[in-house]
Amino acid sequence: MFRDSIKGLERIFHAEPPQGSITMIVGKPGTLKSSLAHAILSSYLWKHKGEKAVYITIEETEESHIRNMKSLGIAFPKNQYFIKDIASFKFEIAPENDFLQDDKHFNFIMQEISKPFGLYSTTAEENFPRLMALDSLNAFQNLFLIDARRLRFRMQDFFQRLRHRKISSLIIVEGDPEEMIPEYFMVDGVIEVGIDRSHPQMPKRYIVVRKMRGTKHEMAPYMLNITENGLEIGEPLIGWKK
Amino acid sequence: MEADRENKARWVKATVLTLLTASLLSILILPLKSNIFLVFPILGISFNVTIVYLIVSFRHLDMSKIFKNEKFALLLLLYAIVFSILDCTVIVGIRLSEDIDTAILLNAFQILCTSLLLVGLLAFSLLQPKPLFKMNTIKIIIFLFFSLNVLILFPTYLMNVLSGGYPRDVEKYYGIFYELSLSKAGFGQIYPFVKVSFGVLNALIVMFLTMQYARIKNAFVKRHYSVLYFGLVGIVAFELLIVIAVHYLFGIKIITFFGLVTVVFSFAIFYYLVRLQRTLMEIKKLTPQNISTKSGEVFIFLKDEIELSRDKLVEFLEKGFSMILFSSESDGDFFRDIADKYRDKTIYIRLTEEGYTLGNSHFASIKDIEGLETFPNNFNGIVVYSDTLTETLRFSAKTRKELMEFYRFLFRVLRRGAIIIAPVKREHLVISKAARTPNPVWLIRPFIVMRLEESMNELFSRIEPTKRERFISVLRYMRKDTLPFMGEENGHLFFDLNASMDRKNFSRAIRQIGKRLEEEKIVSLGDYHSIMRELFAKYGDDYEATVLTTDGEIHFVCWKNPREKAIKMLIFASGFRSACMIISRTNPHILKRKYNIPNNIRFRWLTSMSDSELALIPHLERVKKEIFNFIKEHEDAMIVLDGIEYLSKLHGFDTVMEFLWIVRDRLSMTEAVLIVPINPQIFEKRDIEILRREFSFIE
Repeated sequence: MFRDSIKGLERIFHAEPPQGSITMIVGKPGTLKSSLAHAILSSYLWKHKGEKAVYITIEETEESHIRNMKSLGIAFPKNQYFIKDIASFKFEIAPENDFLQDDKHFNFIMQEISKPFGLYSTTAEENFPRLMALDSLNAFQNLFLIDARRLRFRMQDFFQRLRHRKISSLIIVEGDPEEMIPEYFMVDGVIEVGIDRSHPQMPKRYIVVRKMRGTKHEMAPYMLNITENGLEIGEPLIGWKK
Repeated sequence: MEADRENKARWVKATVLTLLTASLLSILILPLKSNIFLVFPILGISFNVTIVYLIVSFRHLDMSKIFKNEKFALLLLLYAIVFSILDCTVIVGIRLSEDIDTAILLNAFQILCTSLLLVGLLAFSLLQPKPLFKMNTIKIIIFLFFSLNVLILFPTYLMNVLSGGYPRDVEKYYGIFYELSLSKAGFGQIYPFVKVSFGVLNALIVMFLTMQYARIKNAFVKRHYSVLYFGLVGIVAFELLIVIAVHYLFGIKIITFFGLVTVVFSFAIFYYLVRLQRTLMEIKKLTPQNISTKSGEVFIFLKDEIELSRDKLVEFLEKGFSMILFSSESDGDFFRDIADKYRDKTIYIRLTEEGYTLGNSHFASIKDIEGLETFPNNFNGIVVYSDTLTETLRFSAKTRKELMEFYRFLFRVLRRGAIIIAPVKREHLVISKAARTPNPVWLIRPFIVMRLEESMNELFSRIEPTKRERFISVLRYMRKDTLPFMGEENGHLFFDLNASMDRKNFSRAIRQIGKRLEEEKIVSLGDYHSIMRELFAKYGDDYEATVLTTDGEIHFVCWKNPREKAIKMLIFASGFRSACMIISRTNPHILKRKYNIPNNIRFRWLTSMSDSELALIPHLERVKKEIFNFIKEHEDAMIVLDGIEYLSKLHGFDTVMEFLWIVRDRLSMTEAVLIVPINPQIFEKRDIEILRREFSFIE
C-alpha cells in the first residue's frame, strides 16, 4: 500500500509493511492527515484495479471529503473507494444524544463499520475491501460515553480482527505526536505529519515515519508537497530539529 | 523548394510504380498457381523495377551528393532487406510450390533484374563527373566486399539451382536452363572451386581490413569504423560457421546467409552516413548573425574528408560568411580560385618556409601582418588548410615561438566567436565528448603542451636566478607522473609536443607545480598564481575557472565583486563544460542584461514569487534537488549559487552548512563544480572560519 501509492513514498519505505498492518497517522490540526490517508488509498487503488478500500469518517460528511480532495487534485476511483459516513446512521440510533452510551450502540456502530469486511460475522463477502481508513480515532472515541479502559479494550479487539482479516488500516489521530498515547502501542506503525515553522516565512510540511514494525524505513523527515497531481513526497528536510 | 517538390513527386511515383507492378504481376501469375510464397518474388520484382526507375530519374544528380543523402542510404538499406528476405523465401517457395516452372521463371527473372540493377548501379557511379568514392581505403574495401558478395552470389545461386540443389529431376524440370547450365560441362567440379575461392577472397579482405583498422589511432575515427569493422568481421565469421556446420551436419550447401551480410552492411553504411550527416547539419545551422553568440567553434575535418571541408567552406561563403584562408602551396590553386570568386569575402594568406605571403608581401610572423588584428571584427571565420596545423606551420615558422603566436591569434579570434575549418592529421586530434561544443584550444594537444612550455618559461624568467636550477629539478622530478617529457636548452624549456595532455591534466599540472614550488620555497603560491593569472590573461583565459576550480568541489569566491567574478568564471567555463547554471537571488533578466550572459546558461531565481517560470522557492531542499537534477543530467556542469547570505538569513547558518555538506558529497561523485560568491564581512567570523576549513576559497 505504501510503496505503490503516492509518489516518493517508496523512498521512505524500503519494504512494504505486511498486509494487515495497522498504521496511525498522527498530527496537529491542518497537517493533511486526512488528505494523506485519502492520497495513499486512492493512489494505490488506481494502480490496483481489483482492490477496494473503505474510508470511515466520523465528523465530516462524504461530500465534504470529496470536495476537499478535489481541491488537492486527489481523485477517487469509482467502485473501488467507498466513504462511509458514521454521522449519517449515528443519528438514526441516537438522534437526541450526542454520545452513545451503551454497549448495544457500540456494537451496532462496530458492526456497521465492519460490514464490508465481515469482521463480526462468520461469513465474509467475496472480494471484501482489504484497505481501511478511520478518520479519526479521537472522534470515534468521543462518540461513546463508555469507560476509557473498556473502550480501549474494544478497540484492541477491533484492531485484532482487522489484522486477522489482513486488512491494512490507516487510523487518523489528531494530536501532538510528541505526546504518548496508549494506542501507539496497539498499532504496527506510526506516521507523523506536521508543519515545520522554524522559519515563519518558509513553513514546510513534512512526513516522518516514527515506527513501522517489520519494515525497513527512513527515520528522517521528508517534505510533503502539494502538487497538481495531489500529494507527493519531496526531499529529506534539511536542518530539522525535533 | 522546387527541388523538394520534385523529389517528393519522384518518391510518390516510385511508390505508385511498385504497387502497380505488384498488382499487375499478381493478376497475371497468381491465378495460374496461388501459392503464398509467390508473393515474395512478385514484390521483389516490383521493387527492383522501382529502383531502376529511381536510378534513371536521379541520373542527372551528382552521385557523390546522392550518396551523402540519407534517402539514398535508406534506399540501399531497403533494397538489402528486401533482397535478403527474397533470397531466403524464394528457395522455400520453390521447394513448396507445385508449379515449379512458374516459380523458377520468376526466380530467374528476379535474379536477372537484380544483377542488372547492381551492374547498372556500379556503372552509374563510375560514370559520375566526380569520383564517387574519394574515401579512404576502408570504405572502398567495404563497398567492394558488398558488391563482390552480391555479384558473385547471383551466379553461384543460379548455378546452385541449376546443378541439382533441389531434390527433383533436373532434366525434366529445368529444360532449357539445364541445356545452358554448366552442369553439363561438369559444374560439379567447378562449384566447389568457386565456393572455396570466394571464401578465400573474403578471408583476405577481412585480414586487410583488420590491418587497416589496427592502424587507426584516433578515437573519433575509430568509433565510426568500429561499427563497420566489427559488423563485417562478426557476420562473416557467423556466416562461415553456419555454412560449415550445416554442411557437415546435414550435408546441405547453403549460401543464403550472405543475405544477412548485405543487411548488416547496409545498416552499417547507413549508420555511418547518418552520423556524418548530423555533424554536417550542425554546421548548416550557423549564420553570420548567430555565430557571434557562440564562443567559437572548430570544425575539424579529417584528412580524408578534404572534399567535404571544401564544400563546407563554399557553403559558408555562399551564406555570406567572411573568411581568412591559410594554406600551403599544395592547396593553393583551390584557394586562389575561391579568393578570386569571393573577393570581398576572403583574404588568402599562403604559408611558406619563410613565413606568410599575403599578395606580394611576405611576413616572418603573423604579428607582422598589418591589419590582421582588426579583422576579428570584420570576419566570421578562418580556414587553416595545410597538411597539419602543426607541421606546416612549424615548417614555415621555423620556431615554436611563431607557432605559439599563430595559436594565440586563432584563440583570440575564437574568443570573439569566429569559426575555424581545419583538416588535420588524426594523431594530432583529441576530441573529448562529442555532445558539447568544444573549446577548440583544448582540442589541440600540441597547443596545450606548448602553452605549458610557455608558462614554465615565463615563470622561469621571473624567478630569481639563484633558484632557477632548483626550479628545473622540481619540474624534472615531476616529469615522472605529472609533466610530459621535458627538455632544456640554454635555459629554455621544451616539452614533447606529442605528449599526452588534455585540459584537465593541464590544469592539474599548473596547480601541482605551484604547490611543489611553494614547498621547495622557490616561489610563494600567491606570487605563482599572480604570474600564471597574468599569463592566462594573454589568451583571454580565466585562470580561476580553468585552473583553480577543481572538479567535484564547492569553491567560495571571495573577490572585490564576488558575484561578478563568479559569473565571469561561469561564462568562460561554458566554453568547455557541458552545461552551466546560475541560481541567484537577483532576477535573471537583470543579471543577463548586466553581465551579458549567453543564452546557453540556465537560470533559477530564488524567490517565493511563483508566477515566474524561473522561480525556485528558497527551501534548501528544493535548491538541493535543482542542483542534483542538473548535475545528474550534466556530470561536468558548473553552477553558481548566488545568494548564500540570503539563504543563511532565512534558514540559519548551521542549516546552510548542513545543506552545503550534502551538496558537496554529491558533487564529489561527479566532475561538476559549485561556485559560491561570498562577502565574508556579512558573516560572523566564526562562520567564515568554518567555511574556510571545510571548503575551498578563491580569493
